[in-house]
Amino acid sequence: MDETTKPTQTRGRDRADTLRLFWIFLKAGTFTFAGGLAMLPLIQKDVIDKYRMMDEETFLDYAALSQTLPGIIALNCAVFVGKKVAGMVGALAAGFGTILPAFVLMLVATVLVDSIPRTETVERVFAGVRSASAALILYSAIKLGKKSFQKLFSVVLILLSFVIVLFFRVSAFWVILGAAAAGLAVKLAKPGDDPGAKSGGKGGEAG
Amino acid sequence: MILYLTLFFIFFRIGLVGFGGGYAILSIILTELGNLGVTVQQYADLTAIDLVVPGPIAINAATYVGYLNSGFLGSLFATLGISLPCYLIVLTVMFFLEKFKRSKVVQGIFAGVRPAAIGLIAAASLAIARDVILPEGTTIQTFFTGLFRSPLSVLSPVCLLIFVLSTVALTKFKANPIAVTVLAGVAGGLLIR
Repeated sequence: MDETTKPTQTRGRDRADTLRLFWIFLKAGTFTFAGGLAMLPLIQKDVIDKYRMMDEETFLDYAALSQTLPGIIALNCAVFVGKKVAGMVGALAAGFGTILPAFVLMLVATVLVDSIPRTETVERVFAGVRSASAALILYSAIKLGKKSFQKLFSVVLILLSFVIVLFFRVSAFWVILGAAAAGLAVKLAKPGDDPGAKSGGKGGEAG
Repeated sequence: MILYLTLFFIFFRIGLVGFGGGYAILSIILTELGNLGVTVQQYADLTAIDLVVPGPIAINAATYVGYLNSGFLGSLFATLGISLPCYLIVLTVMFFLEKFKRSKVVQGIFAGVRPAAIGLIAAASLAIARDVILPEGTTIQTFFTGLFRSPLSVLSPVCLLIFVLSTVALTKFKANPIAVTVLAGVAGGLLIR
């Protein structure tokens, strides 16, 4: 801790940290297949256990916020950690490391898939794969929805957004803004609530 | 140039409201397909490709959709567009970190957007299922009149079966998503007529 207060040493340390950040996030981005959420444990291992760049509590705070804030979870985490460890340059280095492997490999995959000749058999295989894709996304909704289906307010919002997007040509952008406004209205309409309590605990009556 | 800036803006907007991680962001992209010139089929393929390409799903999605829209520069602008909000939002939040965590306004917003994200993901799933199971141009009217005449002409039984079985395999038996996708492809190639 006390080394960081000496300005002469900070320069070199920052540059080493910046490179290290880039490398940590590049590795995490290259070797996790199940999306950004799966990257967090790998990042934690390097940032906390290996290089001790910050205390664990701070990191867990950042990891939790990365998931609640909008945007790409792994990239949110990269900006938090990068900025904390090495300032704006660190945030850019960590972010670049997160994006680069996904971008390059997806580009290659897209060009490859795009070049597959669309014969009748290939189209049938693709139709089968797409049916499974629909199931995969449904599975993700079910996993996320299990807890939320206990509160009336949440159930109403789930069903409303589902119907609006599936049957009307409305951009999800507006649905989410509407849902945010609804959540906000319910929260502020209950002034008796303890602000420290878990949000939406009694939201049912208002929904 | 206008083309790339439009793409950038669409993805920037998606990033701003992309609560809930990869699949939630995918479900938001679904509602923009019309503006992006990408079909539901191409969008469904993305989910399968995602399984074998590493990295954040949203970055993969922006790269893929951007490329289909307007080639390499398209994927670059889409990826930059969806990434920029992360920087703006996280850097702002870090500035007010303690205040942010205690804010009632923030808690209220989260209480609203979380369930909405779940509804959107479920809608994305059924939009793909609808697209593969029902033939092109199906309306509620043609579906129900056809259903009584000959049910097999208004839907693809194989795709419906694959969709239902895959959902059961994933939710009840925790099957490996890659294995499910490969089997579904084989089944489609052999059984769809």
